[in-house]
Amino acid sequence: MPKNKPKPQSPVTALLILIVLAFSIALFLRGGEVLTAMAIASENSSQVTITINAVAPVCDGTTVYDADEGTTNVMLVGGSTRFVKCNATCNDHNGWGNMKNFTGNFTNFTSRSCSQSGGTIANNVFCYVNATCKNTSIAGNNTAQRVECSWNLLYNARNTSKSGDWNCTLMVGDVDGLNQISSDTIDVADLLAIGSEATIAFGAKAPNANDSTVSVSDNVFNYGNVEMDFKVNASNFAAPCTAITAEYLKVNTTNGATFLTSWPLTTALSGPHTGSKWDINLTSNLTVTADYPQAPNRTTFWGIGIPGGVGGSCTSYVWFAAQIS
Amino acid sequence: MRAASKSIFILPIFATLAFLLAVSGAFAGMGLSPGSVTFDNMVRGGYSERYFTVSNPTDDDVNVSVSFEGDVSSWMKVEPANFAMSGVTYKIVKVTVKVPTTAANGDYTGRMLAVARPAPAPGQSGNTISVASLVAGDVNIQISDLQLLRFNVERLEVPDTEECRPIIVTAGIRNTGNVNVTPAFHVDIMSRDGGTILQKYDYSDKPLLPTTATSISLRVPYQMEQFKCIPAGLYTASIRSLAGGSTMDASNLNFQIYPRGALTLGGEILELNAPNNITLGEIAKIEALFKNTGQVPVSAKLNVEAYQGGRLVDTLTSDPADTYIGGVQPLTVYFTPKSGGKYSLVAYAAFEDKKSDVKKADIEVFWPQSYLIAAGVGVAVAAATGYFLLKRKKK
Repeated sequence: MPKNKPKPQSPVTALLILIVLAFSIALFLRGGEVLTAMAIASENSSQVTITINAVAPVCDGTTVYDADEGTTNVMLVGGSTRFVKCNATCNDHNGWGNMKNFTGNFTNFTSRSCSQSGGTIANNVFCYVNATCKNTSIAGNNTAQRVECSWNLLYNARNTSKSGDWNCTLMVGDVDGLNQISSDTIDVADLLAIGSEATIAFGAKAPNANDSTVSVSDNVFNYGNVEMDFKVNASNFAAPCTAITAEYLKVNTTNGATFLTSWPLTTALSGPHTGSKWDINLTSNLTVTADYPQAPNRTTFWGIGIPGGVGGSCTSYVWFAAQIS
Repeated sequence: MRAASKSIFILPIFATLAFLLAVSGAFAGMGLSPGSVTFDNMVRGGYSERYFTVSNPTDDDVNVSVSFEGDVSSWMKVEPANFAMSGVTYKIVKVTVKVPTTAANGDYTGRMLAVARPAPAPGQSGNTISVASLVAGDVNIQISDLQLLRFNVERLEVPDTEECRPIIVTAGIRNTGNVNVTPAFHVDIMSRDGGTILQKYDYSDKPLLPTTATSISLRVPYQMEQFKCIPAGLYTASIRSLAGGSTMDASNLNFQIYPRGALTLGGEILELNAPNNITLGEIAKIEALFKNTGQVPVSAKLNVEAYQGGRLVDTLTSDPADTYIGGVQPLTVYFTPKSGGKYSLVAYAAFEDKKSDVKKADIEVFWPQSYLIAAGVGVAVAAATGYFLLKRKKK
């Protein structure tokens, strides 16, 4: 029994099936909202490709100020630090998240080349690098960030008697390797500051004798940022020791001296700003780099003569006076 | 012979004389910044002021005094002049110069002396040589006939606001001349496209001394005409500052007026300061520190209700004061109790149509001693009179 052969489709029927099939596919694709670059029937659509260029961040309103007092100049504090902040609003039109690296330097104009990796001078007299910088987003703004760097400026940060003598430089980099540098300047005032031990101790002394065999020392420190002239004077002793006038007190401030070698050693100590004069030279201490460096200092050596006829409880004042050289 | 024998008697006593032994390890120090200053371009009868940082660079306490010497010492004043400082601290002092009207033109010099004396150590007595630290800052004063009338605008802001609320322009200015200046401002409120001027406003402040700074608040009217406020939208404030008719600064600042209710109003009293006790007849100063925590500048007043024994006995209201966004403004009232006893104060700030949370304080009002004596005398007289009448009745 012969098998039934399928009837061959007529070409017209096949064409109709193809048309219906294509129409169904087209309807399906439109109904499913599938995006395609394929041209269908009479519709024209094409793939849109946009290349957005990388743009560098731009920082505005860079401001450096004394954050302890909120002032736009810095008056340093002897032996201590002053908190300085530098901030700006930085925009990256590729989106704020594009900005990645935030660094800041605070330098004296005489050493603008200093850098974290080792400029000509990298110390706290002229150059503060690698600040602690914060970046915070700004509510409602998708391109900007607030950038703030800060430093603890030490007492020996050098004043150069030039308006705007310190420069804050903020550097902002983005993921595309593009950078922006912005800056602002501020005055750092000169600071005249000294310190010493609060008492001079001679120990027991006999009356009616000039004692040059025992001398005592007192170290005087320069806690400021300028060279200074240093002067000494003393008051007469208070009652009941008024017979011990200032002239009985002797000092040697010669650089390198170690003790009193003869009597009398200096001119009399009387009146303000008279007597010995010498400089504590700050310029020889530029390479100090520790957070709290040892301040430049000088040792003074003291002797005393005791006249006869005195006794009781004796008190006096010695002044260590400093003035800008 | 008598003198000699006396010396022999005295010497052994004085042989024990000791100089100091004191207190080792203690330090004293002094710092002054700037370490020198020049007051230039001053005129006869002129005024100038500067601020200095006085610092104690050592770890130990010192007593500080600041003074002047030289040609100019009688022209200069420092506040404060005497104070104590703990170790490694600083203090800002204000130095003022008033040049006499009789001073001749020229350059004058002097010194500002800041002295730190070590504070006495506990139990310290005699036989000590104390070491004081003195810094001497050079002072130069230049006097000429050249008068400079000018000021700098250091800050200028126009915050956003709402319809029918004041447009507040705030300016920080400093007299950079050498004579008193009366700062004036002209403000035009314009649509952002630079077209129509919707409001014009002129303002003149009180005279400002040379070198001093102040903050000025201008309340530009928000009504274009009666009952019609400037509508919500984007605007520009064109602000010109003037001194003696000359323009010092001209700026255009953009701001926005939002529909009413779009921005938040907020405020709180950070502190309420009142004396714990006073004597009847004295006046108590009650001060609140008001902080604007909202998004628009507000005009705030302090309201205080005084209660005694739970009964409301007085109500007090301060003058209104403009407070900027995030700003803190002291608001003050003065309370004069009418009798002694304990008073409870309930205070709140009223700003625009809102109130802050309340803060409370108590004041104890003492009767004056004279009142007590008079009362005692009165009681004694009454007792004596009663006794006399009683005795007379018995007779």
